[in-house]
Amino acid sequence: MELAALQSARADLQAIPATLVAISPQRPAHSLAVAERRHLAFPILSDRGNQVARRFGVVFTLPDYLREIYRAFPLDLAQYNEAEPWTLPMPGRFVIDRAGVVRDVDVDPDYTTRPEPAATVAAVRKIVGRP
Amino acid sequence: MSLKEELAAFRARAESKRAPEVVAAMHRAVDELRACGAIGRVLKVGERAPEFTLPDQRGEPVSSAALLARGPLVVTFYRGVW
Repeated sequence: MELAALQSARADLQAIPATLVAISPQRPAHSLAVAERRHLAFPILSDRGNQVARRFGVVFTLPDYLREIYRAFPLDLAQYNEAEPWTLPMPGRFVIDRAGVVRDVDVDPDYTTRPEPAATVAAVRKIVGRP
Repeated sequence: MSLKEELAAFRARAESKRAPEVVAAMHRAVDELRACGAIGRVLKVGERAPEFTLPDQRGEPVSSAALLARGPLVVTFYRGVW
């Protein structure tokens, strides 16, 4: 859902020009499936064991009681994530300028909350000094 | 519909199909994550973003340095398709 919304903002980002990547702990095959189904024109990068997510400070570990609930759905994250399957990134979005400095951050522990793509486009336009 | 409205509708639909104790446990996990100060450990505005090179969904390496050479970069973290 969020990726499809971002896809709709991609043309605006491309015009700036800015690039967009998604980073996920899941195996590339799962990302390939979603990229094709949603016709995504930006890459979903495979972050095995959340090593890059950890450096962005967005990693958390699911508590045991939640793992039990997921398993009962049934949902076994080990089928999706190769390493540390019950460790996940908080949903979040970072805008990085050309010098490599973080200029905008939107991260929320609530996985049902995601930044609006329009806000992301606005944040990027702001750092390139365009309305 | 904005993404926010779409997500709220999705959440309401999903929660209506789940047992109340399951919904409560899922809310508890979010509340605990909020309370433990996880947000305080997130990279902040003004800090240097880590450089990375990761394979895309087809196994092709993508480097942040190469993307930044073309302009600003938006990085979004995605839990997965499940």
